[in-house]
Amino acid sequence: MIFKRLIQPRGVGAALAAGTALWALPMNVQAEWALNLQRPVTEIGRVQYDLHMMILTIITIISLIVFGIMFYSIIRFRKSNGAQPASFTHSTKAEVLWTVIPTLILIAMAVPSTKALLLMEDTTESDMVVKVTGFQWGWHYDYMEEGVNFYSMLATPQSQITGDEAKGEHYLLEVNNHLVLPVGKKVRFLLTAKDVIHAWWVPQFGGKKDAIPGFMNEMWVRADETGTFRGQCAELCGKDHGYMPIVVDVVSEDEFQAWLAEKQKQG
Amino acid sequence: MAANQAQRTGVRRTVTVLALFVVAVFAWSIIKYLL
Amino acid sequence: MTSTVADHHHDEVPKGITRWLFTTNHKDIGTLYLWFAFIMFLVGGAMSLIIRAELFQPGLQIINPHFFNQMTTVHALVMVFGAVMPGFVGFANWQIPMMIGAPDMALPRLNNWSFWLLPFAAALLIISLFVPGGGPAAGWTLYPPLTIQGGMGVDFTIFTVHLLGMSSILGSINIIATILNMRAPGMTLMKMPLFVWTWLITAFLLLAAIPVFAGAVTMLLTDRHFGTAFFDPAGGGDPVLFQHIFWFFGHPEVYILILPAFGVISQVIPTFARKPLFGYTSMVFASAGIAFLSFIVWAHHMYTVGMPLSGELFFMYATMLIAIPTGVKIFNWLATMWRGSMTFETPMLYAIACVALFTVGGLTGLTMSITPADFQYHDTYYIVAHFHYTIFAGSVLGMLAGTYYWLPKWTGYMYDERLGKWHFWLTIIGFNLTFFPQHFLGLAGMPRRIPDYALQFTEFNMVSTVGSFIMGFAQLILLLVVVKAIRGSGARATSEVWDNPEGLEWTLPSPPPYHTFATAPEVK
Repeated sequence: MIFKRLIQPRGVGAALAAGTALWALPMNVQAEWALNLQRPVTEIGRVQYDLHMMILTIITIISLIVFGIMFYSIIRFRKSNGAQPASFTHSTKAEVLWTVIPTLILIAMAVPSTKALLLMEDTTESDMVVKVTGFQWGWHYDYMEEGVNFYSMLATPQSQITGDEAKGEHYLLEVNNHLVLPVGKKVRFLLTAKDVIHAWWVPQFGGKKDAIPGFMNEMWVRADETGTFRGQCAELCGKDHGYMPIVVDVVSEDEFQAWLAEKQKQG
Repeated sequence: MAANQAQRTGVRRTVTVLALFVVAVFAWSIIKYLL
Repeated sequence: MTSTVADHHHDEVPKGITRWLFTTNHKDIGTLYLWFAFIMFLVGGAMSLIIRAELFQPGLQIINPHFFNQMTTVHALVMVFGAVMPGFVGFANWQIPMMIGAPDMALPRLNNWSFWLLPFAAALLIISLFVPGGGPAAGWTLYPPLTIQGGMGVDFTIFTVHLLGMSSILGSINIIATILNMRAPGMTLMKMPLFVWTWLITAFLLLAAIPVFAGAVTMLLTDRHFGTAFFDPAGGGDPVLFQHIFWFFGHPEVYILILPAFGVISQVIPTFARKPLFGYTSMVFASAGIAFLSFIVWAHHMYTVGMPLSGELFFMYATMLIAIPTGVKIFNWLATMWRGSMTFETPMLYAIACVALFTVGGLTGLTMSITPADFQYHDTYYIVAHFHYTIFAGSVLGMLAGTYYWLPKWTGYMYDERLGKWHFWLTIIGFNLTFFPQHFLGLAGMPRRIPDYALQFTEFNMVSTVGSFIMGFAQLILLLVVVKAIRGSGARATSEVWDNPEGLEWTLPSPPPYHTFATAPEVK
């Protein structure tokens, strides 16, 4: 079961779709002993996941070949077995082969990777914009067109960190104000920072982007399903770098509008 | 030290070239952001 | 190769502390470098055990987050600049003159200075931990603006880097001058042992990369104290610029750490396979190819800073290319083992483990070259696992292979084979227990450089910590092995030590006289 999770190639064909259900089950929650990337919930996340599984499959095969040859040699060509050393020092045929084959594999890998990059960098035709500002140590979210903005900081009590109190289920991955996004909408994020470099990362959304003071970076997210998704700052930003989590609630359009109206009223 | 005369000359030339190279790289790595 | 009797007419060895302070002898300086590197290895290792102890379970138990950040930063700086780089310079000092038939390094007094810069630099770095504000805590990459916030410990670090960089540059100039000018008659470039070749290439990498790093930290220093704003956005500077400059140095740096290890492996495997190295010429060209590529791939360390698409594509393709020369090297070593007649003394065990585990690190490196996937891997424990599989399993295991391989030559006594095997197996088991689970942690979403983590990461972190303590304490066995060999408790080593090894150093007695090859040997 664990091994299956590790090598399950995903998204390579309909034949494997059945296996996907099996795999999706344990990875849905943030499991203990998790071996692989978290289950993606965006198109970018899925593309990254498929690329990851493709490369993982390729490197697993390569390493099996390398280790196979190595262990065969170790067992077969040992002096204690009476092996006599050969004296060859090169073989043009072999050397051409192990230069050309890797080149072809690399080209095969480069094509889907290029496509994926084009997809990721396309921030056009977004439905809404959220400006994210990292600071020491928390996040500020600004729904620029809707006129809603708020701070979002760690909600785990200090007593849980010091061990004076039992740690909760979402220890270190809980905040006071969740970022709320509508499901199925292309959200363009503008990222910047107030003091030092931070990086905004929700693993299930696919990838991270640096929030850099003096710069405005872009990324986009379209979540395919509702739910709560958790992440963390991914660039060392000082003392409390480990304590600036991200929590995103993806909700239906109606719920989102209701939430927005509520926030605007408070605002 | 048993370096002969030919070796001494070679070492001197090598060191001169390399030292100039290092100074140039260091200087350029800063100066290009000042221009 | 001819066998050469060493010149004995002035072989008196100086006595006392002045022998070590004023020495210009390449063997003494090599010894100093190796001891320095080993001490730094233990210091940096102790720091990593503090890190792993804190990460044994979630919550803060032992140290506070600020000290944790200092530990990760200084651990890296100590290991990279204090242990691995000086360690290989030690090998270069001992071996290069003996391998090319030279009486000493080309610039013996400069050699002394290159070494004696190191203890002062290291002291500065260690002292920085005790000044107000503590040591550097922004990671070994020293990214501004975080570095600019740091206390005076950061300035100590900057001067440390200047001193260490100066030492490396002087050492590199010396090595290049030696290799280009001091070879014995008949020792053409394409006859040089591969270890000499990889060091020649490494030295050029150092000369091109270190001054750039020195420039970068100098600009940090002026940003911190002299009102400039190279990197500080508050003054119109560009923090991303620092990352570009840093990694322009940083990527060649990782090959500086690994190439000499490749050289050692290329000496060890043929000896114990009793078969000449496969593809000598392609090994030389592959090393040079890796060195060249190392200067055009730096931005793959920073895909997430928001580069233009064309930049991301260029660095992705260039990075993928590195797999080709690296693959050539791995396959050449396999082909050297193929149809050999192998025995598995400790140096060979380390060499094989180095090739096998470096392959793992190289292949995970290939996964990271794929830019879209790297947006997930970046700054997670997956990266930590990857670079320890290259730097520890590549560089350090290569160094350990070399240590066991040449220790009988250096001391004149065989090391304790039984202890060597214990050291090997505990290191390998501990290493894999420590770092293999970190692949899983990173994929599952654990960022690097955090002192505390969410509950789902607990199990693998515990495994990792247990492994790190096994690996850490196993290194004390190495100390025992080396001390025993120096004190002469093993069998006397013959001049060849191993079964008919290739190379001029094996024509000298073990231990070699204080001065060797005063008359150059003839190489046919």
